Amino acid sequence: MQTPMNDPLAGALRSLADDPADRGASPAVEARLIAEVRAIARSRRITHIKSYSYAATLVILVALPVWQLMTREPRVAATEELTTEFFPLRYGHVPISNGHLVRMEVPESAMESFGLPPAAGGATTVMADVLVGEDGVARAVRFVVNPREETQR
Amino acid sequence: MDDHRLLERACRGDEDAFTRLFGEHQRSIHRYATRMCGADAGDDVVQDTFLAVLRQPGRYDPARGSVASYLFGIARHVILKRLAARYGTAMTDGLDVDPPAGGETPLETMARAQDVDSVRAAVDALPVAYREAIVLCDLEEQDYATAAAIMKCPIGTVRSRLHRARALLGARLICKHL
Repeated sequence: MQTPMNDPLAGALRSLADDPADRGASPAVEARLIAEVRAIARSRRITHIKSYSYAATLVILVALPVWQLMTREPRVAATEELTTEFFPLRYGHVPISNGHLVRMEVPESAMESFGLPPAAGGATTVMADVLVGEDGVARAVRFVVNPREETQR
Repeated sequence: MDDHRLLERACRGDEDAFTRLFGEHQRSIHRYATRMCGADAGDDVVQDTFLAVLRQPGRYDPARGSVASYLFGIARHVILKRLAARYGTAMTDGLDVDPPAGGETPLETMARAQDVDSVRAAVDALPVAYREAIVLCDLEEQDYATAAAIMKCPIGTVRSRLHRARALLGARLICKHL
């Protein structure tokens, strides 16, 4: 509890406390302090942006490899193409120079004519490599059992 | 929103919160400064006080008193530095001054001395520690506990300083009007 004062002294001090001439700090002081507050806000914004950037970078650095692992398509090694041996044709005995292979689609019955079993899956045609000489005469043929695929899932 | 919340938000750069906190307390800090150091010190003390608050966030402890007493505590530190720089005045200088005995009682004198300038001059002439007790307790109406927290002394010391300050104040006003 406050110690009571005599009334005249209290009145005198009250008049001093209520002195209207004392209006407080000048507007320049408030402006200076407001500028300080704005500087703090600006600094905090920059700090936040940096923090968010670091966090975002970290998330990307962690998430990207994980995402890549999760979304990577399983790749199957390309299968080797299986072919039959070459079967000589009518002019297979004629010497050949600078021959080359020509891939073509032939009736499935062509395989049977060489004593091969019919193609799997009931296909009506099969792929075949025909060895053609420089003279344009076919010397031999082989059949492609399972044509190569670029990529298999 | 209470002062504590305003203080926290102001220190985080909330301009509106700062404006409200400043508007609430700057005048009393300004009065405290001008009573203790003179009219030219008010702006500087207010600015230094609030700058310290903004630049050292998180130092206010609600358990140790109100935001007002926290601000007064900082202002007091600024004021004492100014007084020491200007006069080399220690807080306790002049405390052994005794009020002169006189035929006229302070009560009678004060009845004639209600003029603000006389009272201000009398307050300004008090030793620093007594002046501070008068300013905080009588002019700013802080309770003894708050004043003691601001002045960093026991409540009993506040009481005794205030008692002697009032006596000295009355005596000085008597002398002035003789």
